[in-house]
Amino acid sequence: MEAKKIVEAIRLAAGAGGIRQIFLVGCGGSMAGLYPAWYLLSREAKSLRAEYHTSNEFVYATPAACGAQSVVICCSLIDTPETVEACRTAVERGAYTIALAGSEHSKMMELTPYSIRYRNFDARKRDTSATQTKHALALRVAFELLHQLEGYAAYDDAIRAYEMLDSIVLDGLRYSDRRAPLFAEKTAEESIIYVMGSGANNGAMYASSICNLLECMWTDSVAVNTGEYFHGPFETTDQNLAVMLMIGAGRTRALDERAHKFLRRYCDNLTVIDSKNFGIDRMPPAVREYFDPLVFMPVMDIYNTALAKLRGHCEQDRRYMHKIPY
Amino acid sequence: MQIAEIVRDILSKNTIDSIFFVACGGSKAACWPALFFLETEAKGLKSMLLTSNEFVYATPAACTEHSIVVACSLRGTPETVEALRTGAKRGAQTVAFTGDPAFLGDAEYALARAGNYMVPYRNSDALPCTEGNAVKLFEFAVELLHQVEGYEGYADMREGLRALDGVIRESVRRAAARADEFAKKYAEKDTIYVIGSGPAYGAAYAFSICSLMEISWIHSPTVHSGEYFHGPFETTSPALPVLLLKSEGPTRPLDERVERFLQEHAGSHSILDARELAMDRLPEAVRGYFSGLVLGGVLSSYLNRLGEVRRHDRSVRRYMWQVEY
Repeated sequence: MEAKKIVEAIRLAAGAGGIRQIFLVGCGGSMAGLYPAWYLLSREAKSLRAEYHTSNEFVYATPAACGAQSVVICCSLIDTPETVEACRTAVERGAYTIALAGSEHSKMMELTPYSIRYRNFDARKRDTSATQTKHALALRVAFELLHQLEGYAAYDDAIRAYEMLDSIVLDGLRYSDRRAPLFAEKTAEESIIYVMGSGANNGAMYASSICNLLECMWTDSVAVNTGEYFHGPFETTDQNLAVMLMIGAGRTRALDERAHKFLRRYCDNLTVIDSKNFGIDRMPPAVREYFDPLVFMPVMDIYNTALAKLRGHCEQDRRYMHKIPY
Repeated sequence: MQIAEIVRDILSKNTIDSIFFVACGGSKAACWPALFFLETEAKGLKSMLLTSNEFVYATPAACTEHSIVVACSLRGTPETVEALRTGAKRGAQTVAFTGDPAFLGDAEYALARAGNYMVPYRNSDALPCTEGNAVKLFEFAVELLHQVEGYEGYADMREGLRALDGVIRESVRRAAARADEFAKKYAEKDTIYVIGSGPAYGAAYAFSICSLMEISWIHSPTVHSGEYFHGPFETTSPALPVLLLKSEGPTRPLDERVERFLQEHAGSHSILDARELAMDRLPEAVRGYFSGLVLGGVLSSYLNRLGEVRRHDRSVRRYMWQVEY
C-alpha cells in the first residue's frame, strides 16, 4: 500500500486526535533505516510522541503508552524473528501497526493489514529508485503522519524533494566514485575506523559503522555523534586514527564543522564526506536535512565497496549471521 | 528546593506534556536511567534525550511553555548552558543540574543562572551516590511522572532510592575481585567493546566514552545487546575484548542471549552481572530501573583499578581543557 493511503486509513479508523504516539522498531540496519523518520518526527511534531527502539527492547520492555492510540512501524528485510515478534506485540496491544518489509511474503503482513514493501537500493548497480528504500518509505510515512495528524507546513516541499531524490543520489554516487578509492587506500591497513556525523545523519552514521564496517568488513568501528565528540571520544584521536566524517547539510552542520576544524589539525587520516557536494542544496530548504541521510546511505556504501575491493574482502562474507544458530 | 518541591512548583505554573534532557558526554549518559524509566512507564508524558548542541541547532518544535528542559553539566559546559537558554526562549521551565556552586568559582555559575531551578550535585566515590547527577536526575523523573500522571511504583521507588547508597557500596565490595581481574586482563588492549541494554545502556555508553576513550585512551564501541546480532557480532572472535553488562529488569533476556553467544565464540570477554551485586535489597517491582545506577557505581571502581594497573592517572587529558576546540 501507499504511505498516504495507509495513514488516511489509520486516521479514519482512529478518529480526530486518536493517535498520540509513534514507535519505530527494527534491528541493526533496519533500525537505522527508521532514523530519518524518527528524526523528522522528533524535530517537527508538536504533540505526537515519537520513540525509536531496537525490536527486542520493544518486545521485552514494551512502553506502557503503546496501545490503541499508537502507530508502530516495524521494519525488516527478511523477517528478523524479533521484529516479527515486535510486530505481534504491537498488534496485541491494539496499536495501528505498519509493516515495512523487504518481501511480499513477510510474516508481518499476515499480522497487520497495513504494510509497505521496500526495495534496497544497490549503490553499485543503480538500477532501482532510491525512493523505494526503507529509509525513504519510512520517512514518507512520517511526513504523512505529521501532515495528516497535525498539519505540516512544508509537506509540499517534501513531495517535491522526493521527485528530485534519484537525481541527487546519482550525482552523489558519481561524485563519490572518484573519492571512495582514495579512502580505501588510506584505510586499507587500518584495524579501526571511526565514523562521525550528527542530526538526521545519526542513523546513516550508525549503519555505516555497524553494518558496513563491523558486519561486512570485520573492522572495529566507533560511531561518534559530532556533538558528543568533544565530551570524551576526541581523546583517542591522534594523527594515525582513521576517521570518516559525514558533514551534513542540515541544521546540525555546525556540529560537524566544529569536529572538522579539530580533526584537520589533529588527525592525518581523515576522510570528509560533505553532502553539499552531492547537490543536496537543490532541495527545498525546509525539508533538505531530512533527505540528507537518504543520499548519504548509498554514498557510504560506495566507500565501503571500494575498501572491500582493495582489501580483496567479499562484502557478503559472514562468520555467523544466517550461518549458525544464535 | 528539594526535587519534589521543584516538580510541584513547575506543575503549579503550567501543564506539562514533555521533558527534554539536554547534556553532553558523561552528563548525557547520566540522564539515561531517567529517560529509560520515562520511555517505559509514561502513558502521556513525552521524553527525549539530546546532546546539547543538537537541541540548540535543531530544537524540537514540541519544546514549548508546556515543556521542561533539564540540563546537566558539572561545570557549565557552554553548549549545555546554551541549550538551557534555548529552552527558556521557548517558554519552557528550565532546570539546571550542576556541580554544587558552593564549590565552584563564579564563572561557572552559568548553567545555574540560565535555569529557573537548580539542583546541585556532586559526583564522588566518597559521597553518598544520592548526591550524584544520575541518581538526582532519576529521582526527578520519578517525581515528575508520579505528580503528572500517577505512578504505581512510586512508593517502591522511594524505598529503592533510600536503600541505593548501601546497595552500591556493597556492590562495589562484591565486585572488587572482578574489577581487579578486568583491569589486569585488559590493561594492554587497544579496543574494548562494551555491551548492555535497557536501563544500563547509559552506563555502557559512559564507560565507553568517558572511562575508556576519554580517560584511558582506549577505543570503545558501545553495542546495545539487542543490536549485537544485527551486525556488531561479526567482529567477535576469541581474542576480542568485550565487557558485557547484564541488567536486572525486563531486558535481561537480551543480555543473556549475548552471554550465550560470547561463551561459545569469544573467550576474552568479561561479564558484570547486576544479579551478582547487591540489588536484591531493592524492591523487586522496580529493581530493574536501578541497574544503570548500580552498574555505573561499580564501573567507577573498574576505572580506578584500570588506571592503577596501567599507571594512567585519570586526570590526564591530551585535548580536553588543554587546547582550543
